[in-house]
Amino acid sequence: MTSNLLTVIIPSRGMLPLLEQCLAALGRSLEAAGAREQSTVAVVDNASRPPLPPQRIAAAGAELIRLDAHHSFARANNLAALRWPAEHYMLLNNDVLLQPETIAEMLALLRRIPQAGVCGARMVFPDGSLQHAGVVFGPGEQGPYHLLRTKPSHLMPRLEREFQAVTGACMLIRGELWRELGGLDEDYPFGLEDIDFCLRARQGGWRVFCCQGSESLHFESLTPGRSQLDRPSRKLFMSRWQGRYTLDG
Amino acid sequence: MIYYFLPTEGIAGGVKVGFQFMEMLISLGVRGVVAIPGGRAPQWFACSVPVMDQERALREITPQDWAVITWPPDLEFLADTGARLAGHVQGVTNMEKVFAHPRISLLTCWESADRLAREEYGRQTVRVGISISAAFFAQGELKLDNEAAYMPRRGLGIATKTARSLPMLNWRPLDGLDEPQICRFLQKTGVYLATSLGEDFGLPSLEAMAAGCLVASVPVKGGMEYLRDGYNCLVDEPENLLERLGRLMHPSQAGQRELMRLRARATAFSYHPYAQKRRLAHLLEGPLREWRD
Repeated sequence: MTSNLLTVIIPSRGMLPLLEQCLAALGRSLEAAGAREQSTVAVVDNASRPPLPPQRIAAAGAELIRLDAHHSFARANNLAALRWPAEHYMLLNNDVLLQPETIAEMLALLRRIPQAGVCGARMVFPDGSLQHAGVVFGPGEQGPYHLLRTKPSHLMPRLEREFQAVTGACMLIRGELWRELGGLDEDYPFGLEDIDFCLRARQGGWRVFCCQGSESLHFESLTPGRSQLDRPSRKLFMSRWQGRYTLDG
Repeated sequence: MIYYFLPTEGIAGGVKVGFQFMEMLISLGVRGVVAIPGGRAPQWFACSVPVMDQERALREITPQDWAVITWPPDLEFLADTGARLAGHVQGVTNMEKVFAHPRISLLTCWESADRLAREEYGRQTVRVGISISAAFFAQGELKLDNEAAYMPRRGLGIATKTARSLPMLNWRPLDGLDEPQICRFLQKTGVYLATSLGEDFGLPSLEAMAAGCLVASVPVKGGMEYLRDGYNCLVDEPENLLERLGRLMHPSQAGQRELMRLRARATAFSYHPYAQKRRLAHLLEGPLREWRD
């Protein structure tokens, strides 16, 4: 067991101005949760050109790992988790601006429900439509998809509920579970390693929830080159999991 | 951890009941997974229970875990795992070895299984009950009184004879459909004919009752605790059933048909997932408390 309550891991490929906004919002959310002093914020510079300036990252209160060659999203997260072991890990995209109450709500859920291994958070696009409120699974090639995506968030239900998976754009994971599964699967180039992680967690008896009390902002898919890496990730995911997950109603 | 073993993910009532049972337990805080050969998950009804390959489950299961059996032949290899054993008794046919196994806890779905275990094997049971998918419950859709349905897999001869004798009804077979399709169909259908003589399981009739159908059933083994002849359905031998159904379908009996449908729906609510979940929550505080971590 480690004394670090939480390690927040933010892989980033460039996009410094957005990353700084992300770090500022994260700081407020950690502060509101009373977790600032017991947490480590780790930025993984995934081969940015030019490299992320260390002094700017340090000024935002974060640690920095620099990767000179580009690695998978999974690898970037796993490296940081290995370097800063913690009771909980939070995977956070650099284009997510957390609401102040989000981390407190997520930590409270994991404390309240001992079998909860993963907790996601409700997120909206800048126009107020839903980006994420949990991931559900459809038949055939449909596979995993975001529930109620692009629907007006203020009209959509806010019942905290269990899912088969949540997005890794903002995902709180119990450290015990992370170590049990050996982190994210590095075979995925970019995308769906988070869903794979949730499905594996559930096979081990862990439960996956999505907090709906606050709405963070997620711009989504701003990382350069993301779309080229999506396709092989999806192919891999479907080859491993299609027909092996149940279908949500 | 609870490992619920099933032999297949295919279309069979026992598969769905097993998954529903596990879904409720998981939502109540029990750690569990369904183990199936090949790790294939059923794609014909909605649920969110995790599935793993049976071989992996057998490698990982420990004496602290529970192995739940519902398919009697599974007992042969599960007894050797050293895990604690529970039999989820959905029917009574071919369950002799399960009832007689000294190390197995018996969880029963129906009163008939309770009685058999107690009276013939001297066994204590935990009545976990059974439920049908909430999707079947009628939401006030318009009922088409002359639409009739049956499942042709068992008792096709009875269905054919009935259909020929009652040509005023539009008879439709329910076959090869997934659960949402069957729900939509039953919710509009006026009559459901259950033709599986001595059926051990009996869930299709209950699903039809939840959907507000008038159920006419041949005698069955499972399900007799909710089928009350003349009150919420008709139960009779095939030749009598045909005649009674014919009489009941006379235009002058419309009120009686509607009354029986309402009673059928009311009966089915005792088998709503909420009802079973409440029962399981109670059991997890008592005889099943060890199932919580």
